[in-house]
This record gives sequence, C-alpha cells and structure tokens, in this order.
Amino acid sequence: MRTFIYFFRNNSSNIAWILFRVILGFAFILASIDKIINPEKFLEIVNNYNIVPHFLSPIIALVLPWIEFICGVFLILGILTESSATMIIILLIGFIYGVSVNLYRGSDIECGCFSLLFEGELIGFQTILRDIIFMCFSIIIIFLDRDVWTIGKFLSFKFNFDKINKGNISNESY
Amino acid sequence: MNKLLMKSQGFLTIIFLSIILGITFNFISPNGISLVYSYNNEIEISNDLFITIEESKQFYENSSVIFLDSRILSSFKNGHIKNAISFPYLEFDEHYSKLSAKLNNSSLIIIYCGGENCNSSEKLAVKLINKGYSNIKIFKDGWNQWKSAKFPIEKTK
Repeated sequence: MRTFIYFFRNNSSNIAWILFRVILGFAFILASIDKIINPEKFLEIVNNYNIVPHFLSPIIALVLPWIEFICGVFLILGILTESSATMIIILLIGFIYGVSVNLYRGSDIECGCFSLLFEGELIGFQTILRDIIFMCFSIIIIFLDRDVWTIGKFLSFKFNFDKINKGNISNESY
Repeated sequence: MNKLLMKSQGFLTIIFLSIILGITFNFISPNGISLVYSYNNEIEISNDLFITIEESKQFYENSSVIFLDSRILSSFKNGHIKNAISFPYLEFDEHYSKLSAKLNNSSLIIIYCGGENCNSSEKLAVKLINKGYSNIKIFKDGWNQWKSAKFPIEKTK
C-alpha cells in the first residue's frame, strides 16, 4: 500500500499524462465511430454548418472522422502523441469556429459531436465549453511530454523504470 | 527545426492515413457516399416554390395547410411552428411510410427547416415532388424567422 502511495505521489505528472492521453483518445474514438458508420448523416451535418464550400463537404465528411479516430488510437497507444494532440487542437479550433458562427447566425443545427451517445444533440455554448476542455487536455499532453506506457516502449521492451520512478528515491515524504 | 520537421511528418502521417482509410472504407462500406457533391436525382427547384414569411402566415391561417418540419427530431422538439408535423429529411423512408396517409394533393404542404442556411427543406421538397406531390411550397426563412416574428409556436416534450 505504502509503495502505491509512494508511486502515485512521485509520478503524478506521468499518471496525469497517461490519464489525459487515454481519456482524450477514447473521447475522440467515441466521437468518430458514428460518423464513420453513417457518412451520409455526417455529410448533412457538415452541410448544415455551412462554413465550407459544398463541394468540399464529402471529403470532409469522409476524412475528418478518420482523423479523429486515428488521433484517438494514436493517443491511447502513445504513437506520435504530440502530433496527434496538436492535430486535435487544430480540429477543435475548427469545431469551435463552426459552432460559434452557427450560434451567431442563430441556427438550431445538430452538433454531430457524440452522436453515438447523444443522438441529435444541438449546438450550444456547452459544445464550445466541452471543446475548450478537450483543448486543455491536448495542451497538457503536449506540455507534459512524457514517454511512459506507450506502445513503442512496450514493443521495444525498453520499459524505462528509471524514468517512471524519476525522483522516487527522496526520503523527504516518508 | 528538426523538431518541426518531425512534427510535420507526424501530421502528414495522420492525414495520409485518414485519407486512405476514409476513402477505402467509403468504397467498401454499404453506406458509402459519392465523393463528388452533386444534386443527382434532384430537379431544379423553381423560384415560385419559395414563399416568404408573410405568405406562410397567410397560408397558416388557412386550415387545410400542412406544415412539415424537415429538421431533425430534437430540433423539432425544442420548438416548432404550432401544429407542424415532424418529417426529418434524413429519415425520409421511415417517416414517409408513416405520414403518407396524412399527406394528399388536395391540401397545401409547406416545408421549412432552420432558416436560410439549411437546405433540408429543399431536399425534402424534391423527394416529395418525386413521389408525386405537386402542391408544395418551401418556406425558406424557416423556423428562425417564424420564431423572431413571434408567430404561434409550440414545444413537444
């Protein structure tokens, strides 16, 4: 038990990094699945946002969910973590722009965010708030910049315990 | 500089993978969509199909007119023109089988969606015209204008 407390105290930033990575990863995978399965519905949603020329909508409707999915998977596995997190920030800036423009226009359109969980959710200020929270997650992931519990580490069998237990040896706390 | 290069490589990998997977999956998926945005199977909508808010209000006071709300159900529940019927464009087949008994050519059908930025009312109109309905009008300014004009509205729980 004492070892556990010891571990958590001294590795809080590593744990936070892994936790944010996995939460954000799952959120984006969850968000992408319904869009991947129902591209026609997502195409309609993209068109309703009315912020990109209509000839671009099919490409966006097909590629965007996969970017979300791949970023999510990469974040969970720890592949190209920094790039994925930055990509997610770029996506989120786009989402916030789209939602704000449509809130300003006063159009009641479907959010198309987590259609698997909340079918037919409308855009609103809570959408922007959620995007900002996700953005904070991404920024934390980029700035903590660890390399623990990633698939690369597991695959190359170079699991660096020293790095995990960095600063663990001090006797000050116990 | 080196880091920037590595980062852009990461970006390109993600985008490249997404494009490949997106297009391949779309190709093999039964729900696939056309890559080129087109108005296939659609006819030109003549301008006289569109009516203004004043005309809509006049028609509204006439009893034999049916207002169809082509937005998604949650928008409809959140507020709609009083006595309008929900007919989400995206679930056309499902709703058509339910509503076709109510719709007939003798009464005027007015279709609306969110406002000037949405096009589901037009798409629904085209689908209904293709099914043989001719007595159709599109209220282009839609829900937003109706709401701000403080005309009769209602909410469904």
